Amino acid sequence: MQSFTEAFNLASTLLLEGNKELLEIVFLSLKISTLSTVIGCMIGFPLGAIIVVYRFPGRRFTILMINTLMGLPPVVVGLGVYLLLSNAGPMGNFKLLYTQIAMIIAQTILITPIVAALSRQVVESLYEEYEELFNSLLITKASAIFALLWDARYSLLTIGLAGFGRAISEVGAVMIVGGNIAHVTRVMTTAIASETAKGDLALALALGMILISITFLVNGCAMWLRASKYFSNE
Amino acid sequence: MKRYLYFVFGISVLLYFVFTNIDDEQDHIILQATTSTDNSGFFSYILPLFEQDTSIRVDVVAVGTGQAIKNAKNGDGDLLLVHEKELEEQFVADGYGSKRFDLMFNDFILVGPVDDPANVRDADNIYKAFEKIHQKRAKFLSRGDNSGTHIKELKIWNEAEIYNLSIEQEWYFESGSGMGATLNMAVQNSAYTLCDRSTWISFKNKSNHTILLADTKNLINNYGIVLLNEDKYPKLNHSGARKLSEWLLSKKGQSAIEGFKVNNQQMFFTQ
Amino acid sequence: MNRNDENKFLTDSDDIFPISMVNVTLNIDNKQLIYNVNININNDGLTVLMGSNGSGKTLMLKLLHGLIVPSTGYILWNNQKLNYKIKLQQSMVFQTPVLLKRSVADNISFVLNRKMRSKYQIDDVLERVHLLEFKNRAARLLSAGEKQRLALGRALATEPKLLFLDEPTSNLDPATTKFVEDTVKKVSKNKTKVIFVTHDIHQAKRIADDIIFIDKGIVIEHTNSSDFFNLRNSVKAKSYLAGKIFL
Repeated sequence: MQSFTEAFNLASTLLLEGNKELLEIVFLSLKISTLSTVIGCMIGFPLGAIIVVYRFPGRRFTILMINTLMGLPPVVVGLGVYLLLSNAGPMGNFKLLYTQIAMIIAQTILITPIVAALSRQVVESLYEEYEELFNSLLITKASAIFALLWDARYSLLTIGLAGFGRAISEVGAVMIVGGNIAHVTRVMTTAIASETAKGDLALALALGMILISITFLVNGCAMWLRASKYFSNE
Repeated sequence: MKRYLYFVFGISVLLYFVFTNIDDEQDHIILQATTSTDNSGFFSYILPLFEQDTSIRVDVVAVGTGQAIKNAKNGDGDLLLVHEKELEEQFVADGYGSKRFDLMFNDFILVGPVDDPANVRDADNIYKAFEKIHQKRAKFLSRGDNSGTHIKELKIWNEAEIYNLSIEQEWYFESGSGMGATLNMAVQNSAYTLCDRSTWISFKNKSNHTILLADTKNLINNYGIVLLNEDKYPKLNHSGARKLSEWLLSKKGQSAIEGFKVNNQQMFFTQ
Repeated sequence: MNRNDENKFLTDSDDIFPISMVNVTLNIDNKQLIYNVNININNDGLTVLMGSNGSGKTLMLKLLHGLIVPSTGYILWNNQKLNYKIKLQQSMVFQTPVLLKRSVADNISFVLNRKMRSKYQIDDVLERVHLLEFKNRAARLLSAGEKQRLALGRALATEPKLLFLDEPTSNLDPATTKFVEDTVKKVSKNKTKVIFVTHDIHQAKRIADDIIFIDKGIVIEHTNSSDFFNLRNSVKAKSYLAGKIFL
């Protein structure tokens, strides 16, 4: 229990004094995970809707694949992206290993299946409701996808948050492809891992508390946004 | 539809700026190094000094020695700083590296619970101590990750003529993790483990563990620096890597290494 | 989305009437649901498709609207097969209104093209179904009657030549029912053909110009309203009007 108190005090001190290194890590975490989430959603939302609206050969297999990939262990993603971006790998020429872009790629791969699978479920139930109307109104499939995604925006926001939560809290993938390089690719989770390795459990726990506070804040903002006028016509 | 297109456009602009922002053009090298050097805070002490002199940024990827060598073989590092001399020489002999230098040294130590169930405190040397642990079936935690420390530990068991450790399941365990994680586990389970001195000194979760045996004669821990083969890896930043290794080996660099202290104890020594 | 862009290319010569169902049958899962229907529907007035629950009247409507295709036989629109141009001139109101999860105004603008999507146009449509005061309210917050009025307004917003209604008043109170009936009667006298499905005899009596009476997937009668109610040609129509159920 004592270490929790210690960690809490340390977390408050670090935040209150605006520790420069800490802020840098927090900002980088937010930047990487936000970008991954945005890209993951821009791929995952339409993908989920396309699977619902279009009938194509291999559709069931695609659903199966996406549902399977939802459970991808971050370390495996990290390893895959490492092999891809390594100088010995097929994309070595781009010199992306140990960069923030590599981390974004890994996190995007990690969360896109989650976003796609969850938005497929949401869009599917909505489409069951809308399908006859759309057929009656001669809405093209492409337009139907936009309409469905727009009308499901409330649920999609929650899905986006789930993706963000997964991205900002994972450590396995960014550790491997980012390398936890100080000031360059060190994010909250890799910092927690390396502080634990140094036996500085209080600092690691303090960082963990800050990470949770950030997730709390992000979710709070989303709740506020949900209640706002823009979303009230759901 | 139109709204969505605006949205996509906005996001794309954002992404463009962020990505162009990420790729700065500062001259930098990637150093594949061992966790033992990084965890002690060595790099955050010494690299700013180097950057002051050369304005080259050094990005340290800290992994176990085995992993660092593997990464370097894949061409994912411009310079290698590890502590397993035989592997390093093999690396050069196989044509991956061009040259290896002795950089600095300290020693390994045997740490364990203060009550010392196998009484290794009274052992004459590390081999005797390992024999005692084996006889007592006292808990021993191995790194088991092919790191420099792990390889050193295996050599000691070999020298002490204790074999087939993998079947000794009731007292010999492998963590498969880095030094820090292994120490955390050893502390939790009151187990002995072999550790490099710099990690131990800077480790903060010592609890009831302490140094039980130091054997500077048999437990020397040599850190080497290895330049990569320019013909094999033409795209790496060899000039930056050469500058760092030259600087570290120079009089200035070596005295900087000597000057690095944690808790008032010198961490690394130079010849 | 493009329906009204296409609409402006249509001329009066693109007439879709008469509609002829020729030997139309429908099987779903090896069960025959519609038997050999042969009817003609003209462009004048309001046609009621009447029958008991499960008689196949909704299926007939969906066949006509092109939401399902006949198993055998065919449907001709002024001697043409159903095509996109013809479909553009149709509109449908479902039994339970399907509304988009948007504001009342956005539900209307969804079916209008950019030129028609002016404020004036939307207000016009909403005024017609007495929903202007709810313009910016979320459609899901409307009452059942308001929802069906919105669905009706949306169906009429594109000024269709043919309006389908599938038991639109079965969940509504008398006042809203009357409003729907009055509205469709009005549009049926003003260039829009209405095909209205109901099982309600009194409603049929109130609104129908002609009646297609259907039972167990078979069209029993197709006569004008006064003949249907006064002459009572068939035994089945007689027993239906007498309130005897034969399912």
